[in-house]
Amino acid sequence: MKNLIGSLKSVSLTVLCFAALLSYMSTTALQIKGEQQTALSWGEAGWVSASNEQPVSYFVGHLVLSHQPSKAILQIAATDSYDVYINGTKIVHKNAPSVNPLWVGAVEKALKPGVNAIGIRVEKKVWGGEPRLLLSLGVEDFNGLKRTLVTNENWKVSNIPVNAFRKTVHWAHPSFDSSVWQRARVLVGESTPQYGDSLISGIDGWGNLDGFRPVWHAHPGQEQAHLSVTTPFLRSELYNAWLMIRCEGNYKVSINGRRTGDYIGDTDQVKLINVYQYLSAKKENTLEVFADCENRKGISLQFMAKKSAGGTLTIPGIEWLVARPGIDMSKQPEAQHPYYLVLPEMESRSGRPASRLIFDRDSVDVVDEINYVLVIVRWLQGMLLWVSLVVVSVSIVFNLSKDNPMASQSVNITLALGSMLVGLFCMMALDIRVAAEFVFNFYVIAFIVLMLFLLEIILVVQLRASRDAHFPAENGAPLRPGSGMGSNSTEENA
Amino acid sequence: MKEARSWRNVFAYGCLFVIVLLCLGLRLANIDTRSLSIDEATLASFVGGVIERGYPYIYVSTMEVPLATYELVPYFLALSTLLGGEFNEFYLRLPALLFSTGTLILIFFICKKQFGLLSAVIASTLMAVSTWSIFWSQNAFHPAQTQFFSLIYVMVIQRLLMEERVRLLTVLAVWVTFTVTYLSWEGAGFLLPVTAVMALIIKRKELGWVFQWNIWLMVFLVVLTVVAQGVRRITLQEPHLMLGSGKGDVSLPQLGFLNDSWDPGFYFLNFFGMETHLLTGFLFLLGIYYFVKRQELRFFYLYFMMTMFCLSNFLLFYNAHYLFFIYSFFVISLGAILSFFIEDLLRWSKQTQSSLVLGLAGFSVSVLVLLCFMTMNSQVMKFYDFGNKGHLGVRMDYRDGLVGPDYRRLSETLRNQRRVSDRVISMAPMPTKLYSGVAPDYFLQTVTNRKVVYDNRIDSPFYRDKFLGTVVLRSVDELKDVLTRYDRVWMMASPWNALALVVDAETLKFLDENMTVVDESYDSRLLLWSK
Repeated sequence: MKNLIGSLKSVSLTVLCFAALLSYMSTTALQIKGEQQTALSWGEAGWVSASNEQPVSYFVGHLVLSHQPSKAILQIAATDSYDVYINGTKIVHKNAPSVNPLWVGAVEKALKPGVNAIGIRVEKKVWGGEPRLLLSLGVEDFNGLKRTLVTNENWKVSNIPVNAFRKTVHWAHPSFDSSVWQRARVLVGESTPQYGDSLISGIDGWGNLDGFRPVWHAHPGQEQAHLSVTTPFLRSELYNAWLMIRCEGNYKVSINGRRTGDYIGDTDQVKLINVYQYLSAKKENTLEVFADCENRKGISLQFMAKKSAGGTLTIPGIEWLVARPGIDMSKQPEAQHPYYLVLPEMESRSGRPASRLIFDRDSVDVVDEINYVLVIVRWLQGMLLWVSLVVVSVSIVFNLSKDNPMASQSVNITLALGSMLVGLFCMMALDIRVAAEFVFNFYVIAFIVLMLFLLEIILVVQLRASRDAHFPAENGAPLRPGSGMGSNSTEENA
Repeated sequence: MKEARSWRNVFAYGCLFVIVLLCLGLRLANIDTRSLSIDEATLASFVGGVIERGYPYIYVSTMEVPLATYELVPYFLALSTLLGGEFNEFYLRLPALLFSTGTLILIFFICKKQFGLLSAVIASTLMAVSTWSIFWSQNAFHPAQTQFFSLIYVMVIQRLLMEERVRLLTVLAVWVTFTVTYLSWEGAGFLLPVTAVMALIIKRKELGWVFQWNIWLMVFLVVLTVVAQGVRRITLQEPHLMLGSGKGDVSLPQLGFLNDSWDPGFYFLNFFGMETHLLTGFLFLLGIYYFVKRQELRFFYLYFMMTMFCLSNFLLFYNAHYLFFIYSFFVISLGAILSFFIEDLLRWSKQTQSSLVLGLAGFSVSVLVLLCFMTMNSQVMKFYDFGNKGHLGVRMDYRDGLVGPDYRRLSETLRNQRRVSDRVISMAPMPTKLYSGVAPDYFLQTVTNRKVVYDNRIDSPFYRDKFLGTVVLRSVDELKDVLTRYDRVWMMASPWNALALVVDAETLKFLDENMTVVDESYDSRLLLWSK
């Protein structure tokens, strides 16, 4: 019995370690926001470069707009680091070697009616090759008129940002004369990136922001608001989920009764809180916001999610329920929908839909918090799952194998292969983001599952060896693994 | 039997030969592609002193400044350039390449002797393909040299601890190896307390061993080296007035937890979180199982972990590459852990007498080892967001192919376009001087907490940069004053991305609005102001 326990101990540590690693990877995958498989449409855009191999290139393209745009989405990829300027103002700095070299964002605030200059400085960080750029800018004005600017041979490129030794005007300003710059060279046959960074899901959802307007309750004298909404979607049905809030004051967010955080905001700032990790995979999710905002300005909020099956889901603030603080939201008579606030500045925008939101990245505070308690809980859950799988399959092997080693081995291998497949299935089901697109993850998971399978076999062998040592065959000879319990045992020993 | 042994040796040396070829191949490619960094150029500037007078020194403003740290490094650089007959990147970096290759060979023999041929092949191959090792093998700064001598020192210590009666020769060997290690980089001095702890652990049942005369002689000699170097360092710094702070201020270990800048997780996070160490680091930590089970693993494993602990807690100037000198201990331990695991797994699998199980086990360990090799090199497997979870993000030494500031090309442009009456401001005085032959006139540093030299031997201006002693411009007004006095002023603004560390935002804005970019290269710009 002692040996049996000793054998169990010697292997259980290794099994636990691998289970921990596997669980860690699945937990990490859960935490990776922004690796969602979002296909990007680059339209007619092609990779462009200068015709010489210099470490730095300056690219300039122009877009003429007749009206102020209501929406403008810029998609950009470049090798390696880059700065994006619109009309001379820097709006993005991307240090590519440390992050995904792709950026997508809303830039309507930087554009204006007339000629707009979009300038990108691209700097190589690794040896060899020339800086390359791929860009697509989609613009829509309040009349629904759409325009696009894509990188092509019409773009101008230079290795230094001036056309003479005298600097007069910023190279990315509309009035800058780039006529002496060379034409960009279009690189044929280069593939375009298909996966975006952490903001893509959010930005996809921003397409429908009509409902992102200030709301408030109709309880006079009540300074605070308690808003709640229940979404029927489970976490596994979603790629990602965000809560978008604008509130001048303090507010708290809870999901399924669990506090996710306390926040402070001001009027000009929109907080985009990633709530994916807090959602339940087993039941419908209830989101609550306890807001202590400036009453006259109310709170703008919207739940946004990208669905696994495609498409987005938005629940604007007007569809939430509001109750007096301290009163149970489930008591429906107390809960009612909020109403839209009409702010003076919205009224003054004559002729424009008041619901439109214009902002740039600076006005959006993206909150990607990691709840370590949740991480640890999920980690433990994952470990439990994998350890249970190993223990259960080994127990079954022992019960079934009796004294027949061939049966033992074949059942063991079958079960182990089964557990491997089930394990992979579990990994996929645990979170849809752990998909084959993560090639390395996939390899590592497959490899670790294989190791688990081998460890399971070792466990069986060791247990059997120790059992043989303590319960020898009747003729006194200890039963050796592979032979002792087999042909030598049942019939011959008898 | 003898014949079998000789064939085994031939096979072992054959493996070593192939691994050394791989090591040299990976390191020789692009060895001179990067331009010299500021650290390399600084040490290279001391080479002239070695050749001229036999000791490393430079002139900072009017002051002769002998080298008071990394004292031994310029000698090897000087030897290489003298033998090579050329003063260029290749010959300056050749010693680092040789030290790195030497470390790899030592790793092979240590592992072969202590853990078997399998671990020797795994460990030395890991070292050969390691991105971190490749980077420092192509860098004339001290890490490759310190790493080589540290490994020899630890080998000698291991020998010392095995001797029942300590021999004088071993004591002298410890002293010599420690001295050359310490004079390559003083931070290696943390090996001393670690060695003391190791000795107490290993000799805990025979503490009388410590009280041998030869041990005390060794302690005396080693302390003499530390004190002599420390006294020389302080006395050489004493006559020079320095303003601001820098790592040169850190002369002695400190109790980290008494200081605000204490960051005990720095090295752990940055080493095990490095993208090339995600898998191997994890396996190293899992290797605690073998640490408990197999006594022979404990020596290098403990050395690595305890030195990391000391650096984290007693050296309050954190820099990720400070850990590089004990990297060989990590690689040796990892090679041993992997070979133990492979042996155990195959042995257990053989017990099943099933060819399927054995085949799967063989496949699994092959994949595991292959994955380790692949993940140690960032060219093969890129983790991007998975990796580099530490404080620093991506450093140049963490990923292959990153260029760093290119002083060489811009210096050539400066040399070709500069007129005699022009003035030059350089943010990297030594590389500028080495590559262009032009001694810069000014250094721009408006953020004053960085170290500058105060030269009281001259009337004015007193403030000089710590590299060459060029005049330090301390504000945008002083910069404007210089610009108004000359027709054309050049500015070597590199490293460009680090400019904000020494130049304030207002001055940067002034530069951006008033100077034109004449040439650009990797992380560097050459600016010109003209009337």
